[in-house]
Amino acid sequence: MTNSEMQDAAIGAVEPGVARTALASLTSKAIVEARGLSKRFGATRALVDGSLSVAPGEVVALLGENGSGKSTLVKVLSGVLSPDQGTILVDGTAVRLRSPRAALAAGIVTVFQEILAARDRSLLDNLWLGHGSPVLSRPAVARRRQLATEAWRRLAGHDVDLDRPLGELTLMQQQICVVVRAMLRNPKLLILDESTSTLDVELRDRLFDEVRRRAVDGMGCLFISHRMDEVMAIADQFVAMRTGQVVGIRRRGEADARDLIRLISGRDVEAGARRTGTATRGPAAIRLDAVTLRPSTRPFAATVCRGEIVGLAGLEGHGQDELIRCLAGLQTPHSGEVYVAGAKGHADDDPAPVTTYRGGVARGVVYVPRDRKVEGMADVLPIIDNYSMPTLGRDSVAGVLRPRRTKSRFQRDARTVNFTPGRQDSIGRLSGGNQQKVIIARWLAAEPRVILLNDPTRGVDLKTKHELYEVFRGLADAGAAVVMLSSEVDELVHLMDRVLVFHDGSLSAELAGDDVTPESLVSAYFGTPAIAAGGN
Amino acid sequence: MSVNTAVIPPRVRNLIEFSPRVLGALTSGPIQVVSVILVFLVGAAAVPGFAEPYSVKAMLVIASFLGIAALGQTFVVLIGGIDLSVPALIGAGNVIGARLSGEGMNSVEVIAILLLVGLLVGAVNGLVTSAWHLPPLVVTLATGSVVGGAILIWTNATLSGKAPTWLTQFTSAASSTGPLPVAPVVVLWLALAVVAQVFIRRSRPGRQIFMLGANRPAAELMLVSERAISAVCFGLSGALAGLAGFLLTGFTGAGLFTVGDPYLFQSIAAVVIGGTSLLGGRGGVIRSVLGSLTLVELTTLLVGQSLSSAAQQAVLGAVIVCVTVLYGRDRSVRDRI
Amino acid sequence: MPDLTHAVATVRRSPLTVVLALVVLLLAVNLVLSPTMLSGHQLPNTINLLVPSVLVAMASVPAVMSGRGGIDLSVGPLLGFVNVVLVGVLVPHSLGSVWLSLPLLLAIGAATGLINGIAIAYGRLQPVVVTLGSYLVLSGLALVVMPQPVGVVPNWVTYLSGAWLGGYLPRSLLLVLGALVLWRALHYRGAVGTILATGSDDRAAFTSGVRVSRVLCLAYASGGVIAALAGIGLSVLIGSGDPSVGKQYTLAAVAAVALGGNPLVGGRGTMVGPMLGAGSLFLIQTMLSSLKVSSLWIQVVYGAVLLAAVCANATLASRLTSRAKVGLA
Repeated sequence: MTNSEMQDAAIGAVEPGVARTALASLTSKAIVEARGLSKRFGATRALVDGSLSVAPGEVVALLGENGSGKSTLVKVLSGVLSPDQGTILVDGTAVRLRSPRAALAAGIVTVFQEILAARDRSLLDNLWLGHGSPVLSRPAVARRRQLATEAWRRLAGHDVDLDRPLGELTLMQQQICVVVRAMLRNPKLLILDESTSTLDVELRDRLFDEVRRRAVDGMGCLFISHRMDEVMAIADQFVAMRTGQVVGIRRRGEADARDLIRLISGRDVEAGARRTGTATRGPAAIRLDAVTLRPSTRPFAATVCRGEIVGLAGLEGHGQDELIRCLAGLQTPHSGEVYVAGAKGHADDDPAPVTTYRGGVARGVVYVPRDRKVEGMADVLPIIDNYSMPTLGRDSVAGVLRPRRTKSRFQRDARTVNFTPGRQDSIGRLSGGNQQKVIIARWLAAEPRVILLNDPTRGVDLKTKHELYEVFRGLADAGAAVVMLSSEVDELVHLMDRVLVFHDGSLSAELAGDDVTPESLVSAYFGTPAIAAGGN
Repeated sequence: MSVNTAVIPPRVRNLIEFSPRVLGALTSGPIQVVSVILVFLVGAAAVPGFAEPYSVKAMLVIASFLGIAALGQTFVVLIGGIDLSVPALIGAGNVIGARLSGEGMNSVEVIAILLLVGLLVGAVNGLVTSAWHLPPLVVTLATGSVVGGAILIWTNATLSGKAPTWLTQFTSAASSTGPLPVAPVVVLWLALAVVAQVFIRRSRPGRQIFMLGANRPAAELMLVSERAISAVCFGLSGALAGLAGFLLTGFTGAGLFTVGDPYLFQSIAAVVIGGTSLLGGRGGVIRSVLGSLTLVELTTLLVGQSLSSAAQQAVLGAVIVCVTVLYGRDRSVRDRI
Repeated sequence: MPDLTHAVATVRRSPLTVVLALVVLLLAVNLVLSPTMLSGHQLPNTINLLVPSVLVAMASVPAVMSGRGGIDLSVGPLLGFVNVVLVGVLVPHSLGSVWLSLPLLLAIGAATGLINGIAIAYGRLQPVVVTLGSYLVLSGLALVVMPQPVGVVPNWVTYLSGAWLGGYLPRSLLLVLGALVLWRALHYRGAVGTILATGSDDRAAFTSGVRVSRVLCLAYASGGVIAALAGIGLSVLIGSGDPSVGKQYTLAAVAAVALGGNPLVGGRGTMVGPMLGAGSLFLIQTMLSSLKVSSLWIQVVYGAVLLAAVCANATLASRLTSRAKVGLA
């Protein structure tokens, strides 16, 4: 089975949609066409002569590593940035998109990479955010409510309390909210910028179905994702970008995933990180005894050994996130104990329960949070501060810091995570992958025994992803237990020694070695242990 | 058929794009120095006697009271807070200092007591804001009100006490510090600023202040204790306000509870003019030294224009806004997406 | 009894709980201390005293809601400035008739707010700095226009200080009614929701097509209009012009907003809460004066109550969010 076949199987291979292709070839006129768009930031040319066109009913995938100019192109098309040069044509007429408002009026609706939503406001308000109205009379509000309910049900497949503040909903529900908001505007061109990264497999497929349904009615879609399986599943056309330029356009069927990756990166990239056998497993580093994460869920037990990489997987909100936070000491399990083997100086057979975050760090448990911008780093501060903050105590002599010591420590740890410090001083200007490397390097000085990674490769481009996999494997080989929550099937299949799959707040399957396949994972996601158990 | 929508000639465009970077570079320090010099030159040109040694010395003394309070305010602003209890604590420092000195207490003990009181009130501010996640604006408003009220009750709202005799000399514009031709209080201020600068640059809690101000949840995960750092910052602000209040008795002669009132907005203005962001995480203490100098120069300049105090206030308000336009601007929404 | 528990939950969830309880308690204490407080004889005076504080608290609400450190420190001086312009400029130039002076004063309020809003939204300056600047400008200008308290108010303002229904319906409440009608109208046009959404996340609002800068200008301008109404309320109260009283209302307004349960970070909040907050601050004052406590104590009690109330608000809110998290699981 080739890589791409496996991916197709993973998402339940769907017919490309005959009507859509027919429509695309019939209407020669593009809905939106970009011609020669350029944008510079100071000396950096973020976008050079960017051109693409999206025909009615067509799904165009925009591919590229971070910093390749995709985001800039999206921002220009959605009116956030105005281009230095070039034209945007909507239905054949040149338009100037001075603001997102203008872009929306022209029918270009964007779902941005980051979930942009007013978290204090109700879900209903968020869904209709930006829709001006002459008056908010009672019938007008009732109509909005009804439309929102229908749109939500169509995409998510269930109902939701529209009056709850968005901040009380899960990350995935918030993501659904911004997608539904876009759908409610009946876009001519829908831009989905990494909008699938927080969706689970089931919802992603529902989103794809909705996009296909709308494409039949003539909607165009510009789709951006780092996940090749998704791209291969939905796109009719692939536009690849590198260093601000469009480097290739392929139609569906002209290229497979491997060709596209070569096109994006400009070279061959190993399809997956190597998986080592279970031979390198060391003594147990984490032991879970009769743990329940929520009231009235089934208790479970598990161990993680030093030297292995263990994945935590499941549909969003099924317990894996709670478990990794419990391991980090950021929350306590509903019942049961989480034991972690002692840090340096402690005997290995002296595992102790982790109850607080600080206590965990003292025992060598470190945590890399999910949302870099919110929890991982301070983007206005220099890289060196973001690196050294938790371990600053090591660099002070009689209470006075020695910057030179910090610097040399950073150089050493940066090498370990394969990060080359450039001229950039502020961490905010680094690419997502490099930011993640700095965050990981931060904890190397704490001599971690257990490294907890909460979806560390989200929003990281393919090349850097593979670099990160090497780093994780290196840390495991050096004797650390690596626990990594991941929402990406590929990653789970290729990187993990074992995968713990969660369903309904409890451990539903434990897959090891070659039993970790897209099929076994997906069936375990949906709590069908019959198949999963077969691989166990 | 590529249409060029950009009608601006490239050279001009480059200039426009370049200017934010130039401004960006300048905001990292020198522009504050430039503004101190610029305002000084304008003053020297517009007001007779402005640049005379005596007048410069007087300005430095006035700036030192403000500057010491502003140093404390800077710590609080760096963690994204604001301290409205500064005037009450200046008043408290002034009144308690004068009372205790009037009763014949040793000045060293008086200062120790004042620093302790300021530190305690400040620490309460810091602990309450961080423990309940309350807006510092409201908490410090409340504690300031309590402290100010308590002082009123204690003194029955009358002038009381007496400044220690050495302090008059210490804060007199005419005196000098050894070989230095400025009043000792100015030297004290600058020394405190240097210590503060070393603290924020070269100590663990100092660096943690920036992290806390820049990103609270991330700081917590980087083992920065929000409570401890908040307590330290507000505590320092309180202690320095108390000290400024005590030094002001050299000016007021006796304990005057309203002496701190002008410092409420002035201490904030000095920090902001210095270029420390009220959003936290960006700025520094040396900037506040320069900010205090600029603010005092401006006030003196306006007095020199023989404006009434009311008109002075009006002009000052407008000037504060204009000065911050130069380097106190936020990022636009577009740049934050 | 699902309805009852639901009702209880709603009450506990409401940010108004603390301030409402405080008002009821203080009102009860006040009535015990001076039972005649609500009589037709005393009520107009009480209400006239209360109206400027309530209005100035209302005036600070939109700015705080609009987020990113939004606050309007200039409301206090603005109210003093409006008073001074009315008594010191309009009346002497015989522009004191209601049809001329009322629109002019409201326009002054709107213009001041608009200038603040423009500096904040288009100048991208921090609200504290901008409104601190206009605080100084307005309080300076007020003194330039009128160096000492002097003058008389026009007839229509004197008329507002009276009452209908034998004293039980003070006419100064018309000013509060005016502010509420304005707010209600903004609500109906969806503007309040947009201000709150912008305050919650301006990037979300911007990318959804909200004209964020205009929304900020609207928030500050509407606050300015309400502050102008407060200035008229002050004129009703003191019956003359006074350039120095306005300033002290600013911090009381911030306190009232916080007491009323509106988070100062914006994005959430009510209009009623700050009104009740201003009411409770007022009731503390009347309580202390009828207890014959030295006026020096007022500040201390003010501060203590404010601190206690915001802590109580926060504790309640955090209990609710922790429960919400459990409910989510």
